[in-house]
Formats: sequence, C-alpha cells, structure tokens
Amino acid sequence: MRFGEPRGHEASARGVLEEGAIGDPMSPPDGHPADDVLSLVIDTVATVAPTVGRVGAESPLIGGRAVLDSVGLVTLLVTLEQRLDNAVDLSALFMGQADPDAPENPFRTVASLADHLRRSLGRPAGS
Amino acid sequence: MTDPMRCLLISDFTIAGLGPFLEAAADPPALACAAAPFDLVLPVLLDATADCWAPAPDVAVVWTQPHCAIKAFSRLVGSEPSSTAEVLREVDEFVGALRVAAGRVGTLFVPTWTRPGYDRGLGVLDVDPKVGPAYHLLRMNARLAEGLADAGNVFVLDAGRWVAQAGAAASSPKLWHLGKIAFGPDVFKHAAADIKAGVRATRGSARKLVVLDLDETLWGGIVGDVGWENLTLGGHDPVGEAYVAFQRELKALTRRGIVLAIVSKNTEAVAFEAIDRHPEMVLGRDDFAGWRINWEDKARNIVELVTGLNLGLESAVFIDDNPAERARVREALPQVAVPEWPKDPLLYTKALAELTCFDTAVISAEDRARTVLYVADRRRDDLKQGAQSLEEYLRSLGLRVTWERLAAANLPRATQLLNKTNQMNLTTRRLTEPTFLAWAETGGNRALAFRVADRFGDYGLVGLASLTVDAGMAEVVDFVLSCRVLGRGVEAAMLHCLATSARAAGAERLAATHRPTARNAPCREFFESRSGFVRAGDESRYEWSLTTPYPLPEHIVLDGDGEDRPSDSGRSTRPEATRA
Repeated sequence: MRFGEPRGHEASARGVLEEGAIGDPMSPPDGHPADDVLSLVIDTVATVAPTVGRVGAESPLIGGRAVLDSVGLVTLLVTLEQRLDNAVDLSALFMGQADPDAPENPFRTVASLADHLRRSLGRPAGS
Repeated sequence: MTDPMRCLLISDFTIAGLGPFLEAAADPPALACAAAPFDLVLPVLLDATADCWAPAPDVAVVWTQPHCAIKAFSRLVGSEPSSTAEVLREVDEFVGALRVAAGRVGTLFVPTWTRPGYDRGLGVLDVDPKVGPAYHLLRMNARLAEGLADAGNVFVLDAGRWVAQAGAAASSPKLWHLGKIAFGPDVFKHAAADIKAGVRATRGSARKLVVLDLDETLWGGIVGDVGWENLTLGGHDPVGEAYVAFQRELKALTRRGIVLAIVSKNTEAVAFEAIDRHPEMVLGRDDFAGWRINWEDKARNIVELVTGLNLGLESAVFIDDNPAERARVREALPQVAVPEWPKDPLLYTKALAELTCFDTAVISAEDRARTVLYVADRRRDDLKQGAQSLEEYLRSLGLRVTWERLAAANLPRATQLLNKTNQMNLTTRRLTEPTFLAWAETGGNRALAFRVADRFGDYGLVGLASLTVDAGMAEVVDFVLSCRVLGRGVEAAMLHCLATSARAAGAERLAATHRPTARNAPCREFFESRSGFVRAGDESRYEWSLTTPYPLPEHIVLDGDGEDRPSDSGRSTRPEATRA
C-alpha cells in the first residue's frame, strides 16, 4: 500500500455514499426499524473504522463495495462478540462461510449481520 | 491545504487497523499511513533501499511484540534455555537497528512491549528476576528506553497504558488467529492519540497556556455571592478535596512550562481576596502569568490576555465549567482549544490528565521557569509605567547579556529556540539538534547562544546568532531572539558579538539577508530601522562595515562564558566592550 492512496474500503465507502445508500445511524433508512442490535453493529463499525464515514443498515460488509477491508471485518466480528459477552460466535461462522456472496451470507450487510445476531440472541425483530 | 504527513507503520503483526485512527481528521496533523511488509521488521529497519522508505516518511511507528522481536524472551517465556543477559543483548541489537532506521525518518515512535492481559505468565513467579516473563519485560522496556534516550528523533511510547485503557478488549486470541491482529481497536485508538500528540510535540505545536475560569472551576461556589470563606475548597469534603487536587495538577503543569492565566466574570478585588486569603488555595497570585477578571465577553478577554503575553491563540486552552462560555469561545476563537469539561468536579483531574495538547519533545530549564519569567515581566511592566523615559527604564533594568558557544549543554534549548521562534527570526531556518551542531562545528561557521538577565530575574537562553565567514565577508545565518526581550537592546548586543567574532575571523563586512515569512516582519523592521546596518543592493540585504566596531548599548553589561570567545582563535578574551 502506498502513501496517500485510498484503501479499498475507503474507496468503497465513498462509492456507497455517492449512491446515497448510507443513511443516518440514528434513524436507519432502507426500511429497517431502529433497534438496539442494529445500532450496536453500526456503532461497532464506526469504532473499528473511524474514517469510514456514515454507515447505514444496507452498507455492505463484504465484496467490492464493502465499507471494511478483511482486517476490519475480522476486527468487527471479534469486537461484536466481546461487546455481547461472547454470547455469539461470529468467528466460527466467518470461517465456515464457503461462499461469501451467497444471498444468505449473514455478513453481506450491516442489516443482515444485525438480523443474524438477533436470531442468535433469540431476540424478536426490532429489538 | 497542506499535504498530509507520510507515516510508515512497521510491525510484526497486522497493524493496518491503526491507520484509520491516525488518519481520522479530527485530530491534527493530517497523516497518510502505509504499512511496511508484514513481519519483516529487522530487514525493513536495516535496508535503506526497501520500497517502503521511498518517498521518505515524515513519521514511522515501529511496533513489535516482545516474543517476536526478542527471541531470547520467547525462549524464556517457553521455559527454554535463556538468560537475562541474552535478552538484554538482543534488546541492544534491536535498539541499534532502530537507530539506523531513525536516520531515514523525521520522527520515529516505538511503543513499549506488552503482553496480553489474560496471559498470567508464571503466576506467582511472573516477576521473579531469574525466570519471570513480567520481570524481563520490565527490564526490556527500560533497556529500550535507555538505549534510545539520546536519539533526538526517537520517542518510546507507553503501550502499557493503551492496553490498560482498553481493558479486556485490548487483545483477543481470536483476533490473532483470524488476522494476526495483536490488538483491538480501543488500543489502536489510544495509540493514535498518543502518536499524534507526539507528532505535534515534535513540530512545536504544543499548547503553552491554560486560561481558567474561577467559580465552579478552580473552586466550588460563586465567590461574589458566598464570600471567599464559604467556597468549597479543601477541607474534609470530597468535592473540596477534588478542587484542591485539580489545582495541584495545574500547579504541576507550570513546572512543565505550561503557563496559567485567569479569565473570569467577577469583580477582580473579590476574586483576588479568595486567591490571596483562602488557606486551601494551592495556586497563588504568582502562579498566574496574567488575568482578565471583569464582566466583559470572555472571548475578547482571551484575545487581550494572549496578546499581552506575546503568545498566539493557538497556544491557548480554555477551561470553564460553563458550557455556554465554552461554546462562545469555541465559536469566536476556533484557534483556542476548548475541551469538553465534566459537570462533576470529582472528574476534573481526570479531564485535565487526558488532554494530549501539552506534550512537548523536550522540557528545558526555560520551560520550567516560564511562569516565573512572566511574573517578572509583569513587575517590569509596573516599573515601565512609572519610568520617565525609555532610557531611564532600560537603565533601571540592569540588563546583563551572557554569550556562549553552541555546545552540547545548550544545544536542546538553542535548537528549540531556533525551531519555535517566528517573529525575530532572520531566516527561519529549522534544524535538528545534530544537524545544527554539525553545522556550527564546520570551518568558517560560528553559532552563539545568548542568556539574558535583569534585576527582576533570569530570562534564560533567549537569543541565538550564527554567521559564516568567507573571503572577508561575514554572513549572518541565524538571528533569533525571543519576543520576551525585544526592544531592550539585546538585539544590538547580539550584533556586537557577531561583529566582534567576524572581525576576529578577518572579515571586513558583516551582512544579513532577511528571508521573509508570514511572521518575521519584526526582524526586517529591526535591520531596516534600528540596527544601524545599511541597505546593500537587494532590498532585503543589510550590511555593517567592520572597520567600525559595532557598539554595545550602554545599559547592557556583556559577559562571555569564560574560557571561550566568539572567534576561532581559542583565546580566552571577552569580546571588545565597545560602548555606544
């Protein structure tokens, strides 16, 4: 990596911003109701990657437009586990994902990760 | 907008997570980070041709894990054959590699070695001097710090504090196994704050002045309402004790060269009655360089106060318990740092300790005495008010100027003065300590440092002048004087010494060429109007014919530093004390 060059995830974040896909974390757009789990994921993304800009429910976490690089994604998952007192095991799920682009992959977006966490924690949608 | 400073991250773990925290815009200066190849620390440090060194970084961070950087420590942790001597020898070798790399970068930061908090090591034997990993880690970090203490551009940072601040989230075996990431984001966040504070420190942009409110900030209660006897300050009371502790921390800042001042909406006499008479006040009148205690707008008062102290607004921090006053100053004076301040006085010392804006790369004797110098200045001003003329005032000061050659003993302060002085600075040359000394010791070059004192106190080392002599022409290279002594004839005393030195070296003319910057017009004005030098062709070039000795002002007593003189003859002679 060279000095001054944008990281892949920064370029991705800008692309997403230009398309208006990143919303206000306090009032998530994209049809997802505000909830504690979603807010936790959004806050943790901001903690892991302070330069990534505003993050919303549909912000992608993997793929070419991801707001995080692979190091950032690993850090996000482990930090989320720590913040949830290790009540979920995202690391094992991450290692077991054969197809990162599969539509059911929980790491596709902030919202899909929040949905997965909600199911794992046995919480109803919107909690 | 200036380009961001280039920052190279060298590590034996995945350090990419630190980059975004360093690049976050909220905390100046702007940095653009790049990571050196993973886990090639020693080859990168020793190989000047490695790709990552081009273009040359302004800043580098070398952050390693103890068991990776020091193999003897890894063996010791694994209960394999090892010894303290082997461990320390490897640390010395690592220090040597860091010193080599330091030559390629403006500033090098080296975080100390840590172990994960969950690692109990040998438990009850962890600090055992023979086998304990914790004991050896302490010795390793001490050796690292000692080995780099005299490297002017290398700073060892306390990573242990970052790990402690991050708590249980500081590290995780999962982070390591999944991504070779040694630390969690909270550690990187704290590390970035300290590294950026360090960069600011090396650029001389530390804050020097704390402007304080009084009521509910230095003491509890409104002194104008309750009277000084009923303030919450000290005593057997948690809040009173907290205010005393806060004042103690502020007093400690003054010993690091940070100046205190007061801006308060109060009646001045009432406020000083509290300061002078309350038995639990830690800070006295002489701990404050200045004050504006009145009912005027605080932003306006801060501007007047800072101007009166010959400081810039970018030097000031404003601490006030009142959020409305903080908002007002933030809006009116964006250059002033206005930290958010806790409502609870029990948290004041923590809020102060967390500020990173006071970090400096060096603390000189002049820094430590800065408050005393300002208090003496206040007394000089009182004298000036009562004097009949400027001449009478200058005579009454009893000014004594002492010159000395640039040498190891005065090099840190002289270099600090060279790099931080903006107004009375002929060329605004910026140099590191080794470069400055090497230049001064080169044939034909001379650099003199000047100390100034008067009957009110010692200003310390406040002047610096250098010249280079070639074929009958002596050229002034640096002419630097702290604004604290401007206009008192010290400038002429410095030129007297330079002229004496130039004459002794065989020069016939002494010339000075002003290189303009945004802030050094006062230096040009001096050479143009008050130096006695004549314009020589170019409108920024001034000369003095050395057929005439340069006069020393009558009100100044000039001393040399003993056995040396500002010439290359090596004879023990004072510069000729020619009088105007």
